[in-house]
This record gives sequence, C-alpha cells and structure tokens, in this order.
Amino acid sequence: MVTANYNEKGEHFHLNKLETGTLMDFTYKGAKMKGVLVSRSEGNLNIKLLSGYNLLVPVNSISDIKAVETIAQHEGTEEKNLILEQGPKKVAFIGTGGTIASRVDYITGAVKPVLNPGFLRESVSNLSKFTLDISLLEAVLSENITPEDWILFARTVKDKLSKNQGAVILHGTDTMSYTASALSFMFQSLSGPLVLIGSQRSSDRPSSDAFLNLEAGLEFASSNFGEVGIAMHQNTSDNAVALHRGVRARKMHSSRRDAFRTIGGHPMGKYENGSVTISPDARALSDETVLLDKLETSVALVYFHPGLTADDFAAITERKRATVIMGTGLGHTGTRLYSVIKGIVERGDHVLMTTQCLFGGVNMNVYSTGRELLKLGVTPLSNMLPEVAMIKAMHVLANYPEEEFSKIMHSNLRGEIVDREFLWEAK
Amino acid sequence: MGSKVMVGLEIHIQLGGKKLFCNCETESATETGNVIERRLIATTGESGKYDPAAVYEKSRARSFRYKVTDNSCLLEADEEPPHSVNPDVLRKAVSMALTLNCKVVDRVAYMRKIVIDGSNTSGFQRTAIIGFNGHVETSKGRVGISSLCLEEDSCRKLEEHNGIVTYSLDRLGVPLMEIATDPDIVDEEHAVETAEIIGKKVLLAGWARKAPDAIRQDVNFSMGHGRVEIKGVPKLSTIKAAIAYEKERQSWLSELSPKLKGTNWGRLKFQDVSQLFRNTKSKVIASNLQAGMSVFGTVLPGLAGYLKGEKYRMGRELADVAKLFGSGGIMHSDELPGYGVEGEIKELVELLKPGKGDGFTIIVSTHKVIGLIEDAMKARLQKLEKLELPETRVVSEEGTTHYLRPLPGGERMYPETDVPSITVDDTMLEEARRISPRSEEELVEHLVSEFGISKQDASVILSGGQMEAFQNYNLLIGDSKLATRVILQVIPEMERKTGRVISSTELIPILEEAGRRRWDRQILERAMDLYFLGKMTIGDLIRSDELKPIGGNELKSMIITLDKEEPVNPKNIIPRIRSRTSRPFSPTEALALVKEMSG
Repeated sequence: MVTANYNEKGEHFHLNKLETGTLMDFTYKGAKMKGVLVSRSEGNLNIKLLSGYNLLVPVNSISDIKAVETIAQHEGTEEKNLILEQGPKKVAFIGTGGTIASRVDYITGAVKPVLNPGFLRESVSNLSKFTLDISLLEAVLSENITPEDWILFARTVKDKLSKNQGAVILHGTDTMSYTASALSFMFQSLSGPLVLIGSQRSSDRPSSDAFLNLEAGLEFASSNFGEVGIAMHQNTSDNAVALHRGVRARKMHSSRRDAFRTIGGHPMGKYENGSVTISPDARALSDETVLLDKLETSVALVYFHPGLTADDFAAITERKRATVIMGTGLGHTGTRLYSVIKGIVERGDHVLMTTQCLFGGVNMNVYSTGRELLKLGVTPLSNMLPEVAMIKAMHVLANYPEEEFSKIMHSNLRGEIVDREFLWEAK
Repeated sequence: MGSKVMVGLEIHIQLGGKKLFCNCETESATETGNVIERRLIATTGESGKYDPAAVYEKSRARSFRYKVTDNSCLLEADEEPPHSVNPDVLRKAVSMALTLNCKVVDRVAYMRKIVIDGSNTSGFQRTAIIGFNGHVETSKGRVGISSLCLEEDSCRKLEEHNGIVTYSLDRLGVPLMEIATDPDIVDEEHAVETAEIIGKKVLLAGWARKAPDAIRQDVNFSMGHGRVEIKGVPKLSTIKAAIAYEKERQSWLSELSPKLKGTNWGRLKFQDVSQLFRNTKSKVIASNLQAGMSVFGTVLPGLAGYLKGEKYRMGRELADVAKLFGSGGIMHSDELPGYGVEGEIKELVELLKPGKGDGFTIIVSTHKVIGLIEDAMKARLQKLEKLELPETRVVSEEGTTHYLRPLPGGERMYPETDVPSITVDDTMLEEARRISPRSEEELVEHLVSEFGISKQDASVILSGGQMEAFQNYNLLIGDSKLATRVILQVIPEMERKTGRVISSTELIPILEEAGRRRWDRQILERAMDLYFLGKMTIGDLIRSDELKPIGGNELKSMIITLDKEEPVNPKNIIPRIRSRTSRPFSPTEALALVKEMSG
C-alpha cells in the first residue's frame, strides 16, 4: 500500500519525523481516525483519540496521515523554593520525591514528581491555616536513598526549623522508616515536630491517600512535640491518620494505605475529625535543634536463615565495624556461624542481635544457643527493630567514643526500645 | 428545529466467572460486615485540565461508604494494584468483536476513566478498546459498531443520605463488555431492534451473567442541540419510552428557548421563608422542619406558566437540580396551591414579590447547600435558555429522563500504568474465533448432535443464554439429559420456591457432588431441596439419610405396609410412597413391585 503522509503545511513527511503533540487524521485498519500522538516506544505509537482513549498501534499499521496541528504539551509547573502564604502557622515543607509528590507522566507513563501551589490549594483542605516554606530537593525514588541523603535532609531540616514551627518531609514509603530512624538519632533535640509523610496511591488518583496524609501531616507539624514521626493512614478508610514514632515504625504491607505500623506499641499521635492528639509520652520540644550529622556506614544487616553459610556470613561482615544479625526467635543463629562471630569480636568489631520476628525482643538467656552467643561477645538489643539497630550503630560509631559503644547501644536514646510490651496493642 | 433525530446505543453486558483484574468470583456476594469510608478528590487529566463532570461532582462534596462483600479483595478496596487481565474474558471480548464485524486492536491498552461519584473506589474505571469499526445488519439498514470495550463494572449503589453515598463492592470489577453503536439508529423501534440483535449475539454465546442487571443500555440521543447521554436503561421497552420522552422534551425546550432570551436569572435568589410554614398543613414540610431543615423560597424570573403548563415542564428541570443536592424536589407556582401548601401562599407572594410573568418556588433544604442549589439552578437555566442541551441524564422506570451531570470529556481519560499493554496475536485471534458464537441454527444442531438432547430443549437453553451453563453442568454431572433438566426445570423450580435468582457459582458444589456420586434425577432434586430450602451444607447433605435412595426390599416392605392399610394400585402408589418418605425412589421400580404383588 502506498501511503501519503502530509504535515500541516501540506508537505510530505516520513513517519519517523512525526512529532509528539501532533493532532492528525489517519487510517487504522480501514477506519478513519483522529488523535494526538502522545508518545512512541518500542515500535508502537501511542495516540490519544478524541474520545480520550489511547490507541497503541505498531508504527507501520497506520497510514494516510495528515497532520492537522501541533498541540502545546502541558508542563507541570514546579518551583524549587517558594513561600506559599495562606495562614498563620509556619511549616517547612520539604519534598524529596516518592509517590506522594508524584503524578503520572503521560508521555512516558512513568510516575514523575509534581508539586505546585495550585495542586496543594486544590487538594489539601486545611491549607488556609498554614504558610508553607517549600523547598524541593532533588526527587529520589525512596529505594535509591542512601545515608548521604539522610545527611542532606537533616541539614535542610535544621536550617528550616530555625524559621518555622515545624517541618514535614514528603518521602517515598519504601524506605521512609529508615530515613525516620536516621533523623531520629541524628537530631539530639528538635525545636519543632519533624513529620515524614508518604502515600501509597499517587496523587493523580482521585482516591489518593496523599490528601488526608498531607492534611494531617501539617497539623502534626504545627503541634507540640519534639520527635520524628511518620504520618500515614491509620486504617483503610479516609478518616484517621496515625503518627508513628520514627524509631518504632515499619512498612508492613506493600500496597495498603495503612501499611505503616508502630511495632510493639501504640502510635504516638492521631489525627481524626480535624484534631490532633499527641501521646503524653512523646518527647517535649526543645529550645534548640541539635544535629549530629556524622554517620559510619560500615555496618551490615544480616538476615539469618537455614541456608546461610559461614562463608557467606564472613563475606558480608568482612571489614564491617558492626554487624546487626536478624536472628531467629529470641535471638539465635546456627552454630556454623560461631567461628565467624568469634573472629569479628576478636578483631574489635561488634556483633549485635535482633529478632527477625519483629514483634517481641531477643532474650539470649533462655536457650543454650543464646547463652553460647553471649559468651562469644554478641550484644543483645532487646526489642529494637533490626533496621533501627543498624542505623543506631551507624550513628553511635560516628559520634561517640568507641568504649561507650555497647553502653549507648543498650540505652534508650529516642524510644527505640519499648520497655513494656502489652498483650493487646492498639492498631 | 426539525433536525434529524440521531440515536446511538451503548450496550453493557456483564460477563460471568472471575472479575476482570482479580481472582474474585462475579457471583456470590455476602456482606462481610466491614465498611470502608472514603473521599475522592478531583484530579487533572494528562492535559492538566479538570473534567467538567469531575468539577461538578467536586461541588457536591459527598463522601462514600463501601460495604465489603466476600467476592471482593484488596483490589476492590483500592488497596493493591490490578492483577493481569482475566484471559478468559479478554478472549470472549475479542470473540464478540469479531462476531460484530469489528477490527480488533493490535495492542490492548488499558485506560483510567476518571469517575468521582464514588462508584469506583479508585476514582476511575479501567477500560480498554478491544474492537472498532464493526457493524450489524438491521431491517432499517446497517448500524455501525463504533467500539467494543472491555471494562470494570462499578459499585452497586445502595443508598444516599445527607451527602453520604453507600455502595456495595460486590459488582465492582465484574467484567463489562461495552458495545457502542454509531448514531445510525433512526427511531425508537429501530433502537429496540438494534439492542435485540446485539443482545441476542451475546446471549447465544451464553457468556452474560445471569442477574437482573446483567445487561444495561445507555442511549445517546441528539436532534441538533447536542448529545444527551441517557444512562442505565434496564429494559428494551424503557429505551423506547426514554427516546420518546427526550424527543418531546427537546422539542418544547427549543420552542421555549426564544421566549426566555434575555431573562435576568440573577433574580433567582433563595431566602429562608421557614417562619411562614410554622403551622403548615403540608406533612412533608412539617416533618422536614422538625428534622432541622429549612424552607427557602425564590422568584423564578419569567417562568410563570412554563413550569408546568400544557407543553412546558421547566419545573422538572429545576427539581432535577434540587434532587442532586439531596432535596426532595421543589414546589412551584404553577402547581400551588397543592401538596398541603395553601394558607402560606399569600404571605409568600408578599415576601418574594414576583413580578409580571415571574413564577416562584419553595424548596426544603439546609443553609449549607442552598447556595450550591441556587448556583446550579442559575447555571442550568442559562444553558436551557441557550438551548445547550448536551449532558448526562438518567432514566426512571417509567422512561422519563432526569438531569444527572455534565457530559464528561476526553479529559477524564489517562493511561492505566499498572497494566502493561497486551498484544493480540494470532493465537489469541484463533482462540477467539474458535469460541465465537455461531448462528442459532448451528448451535441447536451442535447441542442435538453432540449431547443427544431434543431440538426443543436445545432452543430453550440457547434463547435463555444458558449455553455455557449447560456445557459446564454437563461436564460436572456427566449426564446431558440431567444437565438439561437442571437448567430447564430444577433451577426455575428452586428459584420459584426461594424467590430469588440462583447463580451458577452456588450450583457448582452440589453439581460436583452429583457427578462424583453419580446421583440420579431423584437424588439430585431432593439434594437441591435440602440445600437451597433446608439450608443444609454439602457436608451435611452427603452424610444425610435423606438422600439414601429407598429401593429393593426396603421399598417392597413399605409397599406391603401401605397395602395393608389400604390396598395399593398403580394409580395411587406413587403419591402414597411420597407421603410416607421424603427419600428418593424410582417410580418405575415401585410400579413394578405393585404389579408383581398384584400379579
């Protein structure tokens, strides 16, 4: 078939030259159609028909193309730094990426960050109470976040807290609890609440949990406590947001809105029916924000399992200043690791024990395995969560004298150890 | 005036089996007792603009409750991404596209269609074009099929109260084939004929769900003043009534519109007139005032005589708006005195001061929403004055149509990034052709020769859309005659006795047992009774003595006992055994025994 393709000036053109954003008449399988070329990928053209449907067609399957006009593409406006003045409460608003700050990029189909004042005004119902000091850091998918990013976030927060009563960080949920733990340890004291907010449904969806989480996050950030918390849906309904203590929070579901849980205790706050309640055991605000921004990243986190060999364990822990083991049950590993553990301790590095059960703590006096491991020099970390223990070790190694390491690991710096666990736990 | 009437249909057919994007059954929907509460926020489409229907819904600020059913999972709760497309229904959709002479797309690309009336927990409906550019032949010429889409059905609405809408999750995600025709339909009879032709093709395939609302139609209507989409027409007879109603409505509107030119709609301004109704005889108003609502009144500029006259029905147009904001409707000057409102009218007129040609109306509502109603009424009057009629309407059972919302635009669609596109390859086309519904004659012939059932039974099975059910039941029971009986007699009988529709999902466990235990007709029928009416579980059933057939010596001694009480004969023996036991027995055997005894 001879196909004649014309641009809007009536000139012949080659299909490959067809630009995205072109509104065109064309024929597909004998039917005359009209639509805008949205994108091209892997030999397909993605054409948005006037009905709104996208048609995905192999490049060579359309013919008789006549370009009608080129439609300007919509660009999401985004400014890196601005003050969005709406009301009296001043809150720093720090974007780092993640689903909450994302919208679908219709060109590539990928999720890209878009945060603009218009969007916030339209969708966050209590915005009129706040003045947002917005700074958008370079957007990172949360799985790409590294300890270097934690330091950048912490320094930004310190700067912003000097001018605002509290701060929120918009963060991807995948590693949000790691960042929350890191910030918890790095800030010795806080002059305002520091609240991490995420969402499990991106904000281009009408059902996104971002809207309520943002609403609640701003309320938490302007309330009265001096800790790092995570604000996410308390349950599947859009009626309550829980504030989880940074060092006790964990993402416990891959997709649900209420994925985050406070492990081994109650959330430290709640937002419901427009008002905030904060638990009396939350730390008080300080006059000053004190940041210790050094981290020793040479720390390993090892999940013990029946297939883990001594060689693998040795390879992972080689040259690490500290190794956190996620042991079985009350804090055990197979005897095959003993010699490697012994070696680590003898060379002056640390082996720390947590439980892969996540709920409950280690107690290494109950079984002989535990007692053997203690004899080898393993430090049990009570009910500290494994990731939290790893991050705490990074913090302690970098900021405290070596001889105090074990003592500080054992002490409850930020509420990372739950001293009383109860039979029934509130959601 | 006098523009040609153009009608197109959108026929929605639910497919049975598993849902479109998860492993939940389309049937069986018991409420679990859990309720989810959600809100939806309008978001912009890929061009960055808001969809008009979404903006309108946003103004209503409703919230939503969802009752969780056992045929829903995290997906229906909008708590996980969609699984891959159900290959079985995709094949059926491709097959139906071919049957309707459509071209099939090379790649199936799912879209999100923003719908924020709460009927989808996600705030959008997943939909994809499967076929396009097809046609069916009718007595009034060829009707084009513009598209066949395979989409998710929405939630079933249960109730709406004070801005809170309650839905059930049972229907959400049920595969829905949407067949849209070109506006080639010339009148209401033609619309019915076209719907029948298309419906029959699906029915013959036997893929539709067996449920009262398994097939629903939308009617697209225009006569020169823009497209009106009439939603949710359940019955073919209603299609006719709805088209006739809409034709009449647009005719009088086009006649009235010049008379309304230049009216100052700004004078429509509601004020609280509750104090006039303190001693009202209107029961509706009295009870609403008691419930804390207020009565509001306004002048309706230039509308006297047009609200409810010989021809004109502007009252209905305004009542539709009021109802969308939770009000029961309006009471206006063309119908007052009435509804128990009489004594108040004089004072009302003094207060509202309608001028010459002005009408007036009262409405029961709240201070919170009356402003929204006022704005919506003014906007509506402006549109009607300019004869801008495109909108989405909904049909009542009587076939009257009512304003629902603005027509959504292309703005509301954007790609479903969680579902990768699917290539329709030769294998899929081949499979689709293999299962494609054949003509009625061919199918009857097939059933007769393949399964040895009568031609008449075959026809009844086909016209009831039971082809697939028959094949499934036959496979389970391993007896085509019994499967026929189950479909044509046993199920209708059970449905009559229980007063409800019995789904094929409910039948599967009991038919599986029937096949495994080689139950005959009597045992199966007795088992059905115990299962559906006696509410016995399958486990209880198979252990029950009730299902043990009575025969041989046991039957013989029963007949001897009966004979001693009163002599038995071939005429009375069957009912007499039945009165003595509910266990199954073979009438042939009983008759033989009687014969043997008398012989």
